[in-house]
Amino acid sequence: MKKRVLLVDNLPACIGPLRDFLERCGYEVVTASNIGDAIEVADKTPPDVAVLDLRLIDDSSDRDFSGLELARLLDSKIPKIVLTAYPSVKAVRGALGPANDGLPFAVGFLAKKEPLEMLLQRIRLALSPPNHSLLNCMEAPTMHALPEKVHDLGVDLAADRIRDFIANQKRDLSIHLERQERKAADHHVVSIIASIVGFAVMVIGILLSFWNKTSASIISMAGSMVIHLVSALFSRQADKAHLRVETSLREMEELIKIASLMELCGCFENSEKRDQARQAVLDVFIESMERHPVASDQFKNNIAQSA
Amino acid sequence: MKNAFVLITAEPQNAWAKEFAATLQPLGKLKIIAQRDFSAEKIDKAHTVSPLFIIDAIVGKEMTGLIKKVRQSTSQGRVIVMTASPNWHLARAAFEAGALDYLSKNLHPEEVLNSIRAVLSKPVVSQTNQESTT
Repeated sequence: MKKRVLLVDNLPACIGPLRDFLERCGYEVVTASNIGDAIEVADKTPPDVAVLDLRLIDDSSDRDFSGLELARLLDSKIPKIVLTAYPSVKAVRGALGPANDGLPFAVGFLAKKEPLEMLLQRIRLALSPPNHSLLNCMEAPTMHALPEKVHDLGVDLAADRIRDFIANQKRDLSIHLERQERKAADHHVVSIIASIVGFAVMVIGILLSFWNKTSASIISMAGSMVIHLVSALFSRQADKAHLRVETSLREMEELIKIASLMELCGCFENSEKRDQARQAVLDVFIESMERHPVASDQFKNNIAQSA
Repeated sequence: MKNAFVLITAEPQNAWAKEFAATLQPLGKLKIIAQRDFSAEKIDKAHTVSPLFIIDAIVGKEMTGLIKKVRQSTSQGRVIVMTASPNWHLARAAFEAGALDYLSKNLHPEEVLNSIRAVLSKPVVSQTNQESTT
């Protein structure tokens, strides 16, 4: 299911390109141009994340912090990202500082002139829970603290822990993959059987119509349609399962690539070069985890769901 | 119970640091340490009251690195940043690294005290919980 983004800006010229960009990135976008509309839209179609312009009333006033007022009024469970054409320290403090009874109003702050990819990154971060398995494995309190933890542990120890983490991930992924494959195969078989039965019922219907048994013929034709519909549904489920298998395979490939690189680093005889190479691989790994903080917690959820 | 503050600064001999210690007097005692002498684990063990760390005159990656180190190493690593030349990029970086506030040295002392009081009144939550709630 698509994640829904609420986009609030008083300038339609700003909403258009942002909406197009986010829709291209696979999000469902709902928009509003003022506080009242935004609250109404959020009530009707609760968003997963809200992107709020800072100045919703008067763009020329540096006292207009109405975007933060809206952040306060919206459900506190919705993560908010504040966007502004007029960034300032005061605005950053208002959004990310302890203004809201010691808590921040927003999880992100961006200037409109910054690349749209930065907004995408903040939205992904806001929607993704921290990767607790990786954090536990590295004994780090936050994802941001990971590079520092690697530095403190030393490259060798950090590499060992990441290797263990990857091994666990691979094991979880294999289980997930196996279950999804089995599910896909089951759905495929049911779909084929339903299709054959549907075809047989249709043939019976045609034969009955030749013997002038119209009502029986209509009933069997309707039955055939229903069975074909069931077949199509199962076929769709099989496709979905195939898609999940493909995603799992891609993720597994990425993990195997990192694990292989880690092994390759061990081939350096010069310990300094080995450490440098391992550090580089770890940096790439941590960066990719921060960009796509899915990994094992998500897989475990998937496994629990598919079980 | 009196609060404890630790000022980590690149310029420990700076006159401002001593003035700041006097400003903070009503709230608690300030210990000034040089950035190079900082070890969060040592400080955490030495204090029965978890101090509020104030980072001064340290910018860029050094600032964010230090914030992360304090948050990661001490049991209740609360950090605020003070600066003579505030800019919004650094303010954002400080908050994203886990700072609780970002204050300009140009603020009136009473305003600084109020902001620090606000941070002190914030219930201390574990860092992992904090990340998941923000």
